[in-house]
Amino acid sequence: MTIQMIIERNDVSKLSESLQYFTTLVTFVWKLIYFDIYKKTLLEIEDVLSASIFYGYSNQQLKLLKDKVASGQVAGTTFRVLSVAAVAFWGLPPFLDSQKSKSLPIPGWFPYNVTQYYYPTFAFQILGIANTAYTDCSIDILSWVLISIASGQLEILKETLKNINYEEGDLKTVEEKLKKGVRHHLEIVNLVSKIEKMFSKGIFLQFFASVIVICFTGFLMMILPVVSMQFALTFTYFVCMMCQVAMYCWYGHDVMTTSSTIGDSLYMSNWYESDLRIRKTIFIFLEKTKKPVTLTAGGFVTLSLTTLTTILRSSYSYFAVLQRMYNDE
Amino acid sequence: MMKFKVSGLVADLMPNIRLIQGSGHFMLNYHADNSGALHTLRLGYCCVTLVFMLLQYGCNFVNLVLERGDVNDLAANTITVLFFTHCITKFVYFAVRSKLFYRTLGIWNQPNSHPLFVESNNRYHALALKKMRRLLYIIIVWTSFSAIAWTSITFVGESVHTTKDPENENLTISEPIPRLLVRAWYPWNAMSGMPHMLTLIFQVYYVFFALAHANLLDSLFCSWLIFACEQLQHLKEIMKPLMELSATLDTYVPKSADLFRAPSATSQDNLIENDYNSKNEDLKGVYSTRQELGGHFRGAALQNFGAGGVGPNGLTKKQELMVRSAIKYWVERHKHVVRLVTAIGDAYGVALLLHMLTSTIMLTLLAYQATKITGVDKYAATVIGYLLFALAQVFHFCIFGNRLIEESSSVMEAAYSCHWYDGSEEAKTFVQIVCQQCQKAMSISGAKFFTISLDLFASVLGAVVTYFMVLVQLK
Repeated sequence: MTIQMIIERNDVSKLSESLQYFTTLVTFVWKLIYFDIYKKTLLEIEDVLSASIFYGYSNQQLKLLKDKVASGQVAGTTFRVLSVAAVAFWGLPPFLDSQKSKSLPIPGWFPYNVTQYYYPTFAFQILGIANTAYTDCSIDILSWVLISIASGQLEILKETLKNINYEEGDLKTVEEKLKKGVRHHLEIVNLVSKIEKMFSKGIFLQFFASVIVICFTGFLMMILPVVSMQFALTFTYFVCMMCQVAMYCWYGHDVMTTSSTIGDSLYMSNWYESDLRIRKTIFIFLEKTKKPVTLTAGGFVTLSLTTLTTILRSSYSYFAVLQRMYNDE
Repeated sequence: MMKFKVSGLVADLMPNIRLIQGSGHFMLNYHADNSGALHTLRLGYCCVTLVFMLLQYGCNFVNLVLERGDVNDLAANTITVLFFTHCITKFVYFAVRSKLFYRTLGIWNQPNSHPLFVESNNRYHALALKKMRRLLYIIIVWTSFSAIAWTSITFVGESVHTTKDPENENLTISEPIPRLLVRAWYPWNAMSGMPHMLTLIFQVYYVFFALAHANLLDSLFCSWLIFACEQLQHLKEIMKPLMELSATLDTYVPKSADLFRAPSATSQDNLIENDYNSKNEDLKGVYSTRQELGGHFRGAALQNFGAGGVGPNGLTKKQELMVRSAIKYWVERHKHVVRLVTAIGDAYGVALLLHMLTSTIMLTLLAYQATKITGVDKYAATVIGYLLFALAQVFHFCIFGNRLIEESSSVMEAAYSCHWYDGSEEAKTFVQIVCQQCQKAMSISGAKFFTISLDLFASVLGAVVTYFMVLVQLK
């Protein structure tokens, strides 16, 4: 594919087509490599999750967690369906479009004559793409669900803090409940830092690639006729890519906003009835919760909706540049 | 028949609510008589209004599609369609999310109260009421003025539009179109005579009611914000007396001490000097010790603290209980305000987001239209009118959102500037936690994407001016 790109570098439309697939594949390969490097971290995450602090909550609170995880799974399933559709669209043009019969789904240069060995090459490409798409999905969905678990745990913590009754019981029981909340918070922060350690570099590459891919795909959508198969494929691919980036940003934003409102839910309890000693504990805890729990990509890009708008804006500027180049030809 | 009693926010906002109901929004609660027949009648009225609005909007849209050939017409029609999109969106939004609105209106139904702070509460409540009324008058005047201006400008100038000359493709001729407020397509010929009259009346009704729909909902939102701000002012004001209430005996004499001058042998009120109390008359007249704290007094009389009635903070048991109840009032009231603001954000956030999205597109197009102004004529007047109205709408809710942010972030200053260092340990930790909590200002966000503040208005205005400058350069 690299050679193909070099040959066709003068034709912007063909170049963009190869480049978008190329970028996705490269990103996927790197994500897989990082996943492999950090696979021990995944085991650590599992250990953290099995800590007893995360269990023993009422059904009502568990419902919060379940809701979050369920929504994460819905998002994941949608994404998977979309990517399967994209792969299907990839495979179909050679068969349905009479002009392009005997052409390969992904443009590439092979050291042999393609038409002779058409079917094996085709099968090889389709299998490759399907495998890539599916595994890529899985890595993404895994990280989304883990993040949504952290978010759900934060919701449970907020509920617990809101319901601590400082009036009833003796000093020791109230103090114990508060301490449990503090420990819970610490564990959640620990969990999120491990998730970040594992997925951070992959997500950073994903963002970088998404900017390029979204702009090229948008450009292709502009130049293709609307009713063709190609357009449907490009459109589905575009939606997939947007979905990927958007989901990361959404879940990161979710964790950030939930963790920044822990202090508010503590304030909503009847803390003014508490003893002075407990108030000191509350105060230190509130200081800590002022800093929200953030996920970063590559250490400096925080996952939030603001990052999403920045990515979309930069894609749009590159897209505009590309359009200019195309119109000048 | 159930006795219809209103309280809280509903009572304060009754004129708003009646107007909203009158203009055809789907607000079906808050009537004295909610029996089946009247309810159906009201529901019918709302549905009829909805149908009329949608019909006219559809006609506008059809006209847009039909006239899309000419760029000028396309721009003008798009602006009109977008303008009325606001109104339709707000109408439908309210119908769909009316539960959230009812919840917000009902949130202040049972506010807590404390005998010491009743006067301050009432004063700020009255202030809020006055401001809300004033806002409502301004909105009514503005809406009526806009509707009247729109109607009158229809009768100025020629009622024509340019189309391609059927004989010669390169020339354009002016073709007369019906003299109506809004360019729309009708299945009947509305050029003159009876159909024209009826269509004109229908359009006047449409314009007036559409403007009313959008503006009344915005003013409801802003009234809520006014109320929340005044409550925050009240909380800031009572912080100082609260601190003084808890001040230790040896450093500062609390002004409310004479309230504790109870006929009880164990009370240690050896502190009062009259000039202190004269500065704080509001506490004297309102509070009647015997009535309010009868139970506490009895309890206090039985307590022995060692050196005669003075507790560990230097306060008597009575005073400590008083302080604790005052702190409880303050915190519960603050929590109530936080709940109110959250409910407001939930109810109206998405509507604001949709408004801003539509406004952005519309203002961009208006900037383009503004570059084509050639002199003081009907075209200029309409473009400037649209521009001013759109900007005024955005300014309307931005200014109140901004005030909320300012008020809530100044609570911390108020907490710090009261004499907290004179207070008891309990009061000091109370100030500590309140300062912590109030560092983050309360704000209304448009469904988490942006916050409503004057920054938003400034960026919108800046964007419009930038587009205008750029387009003028390109011409």
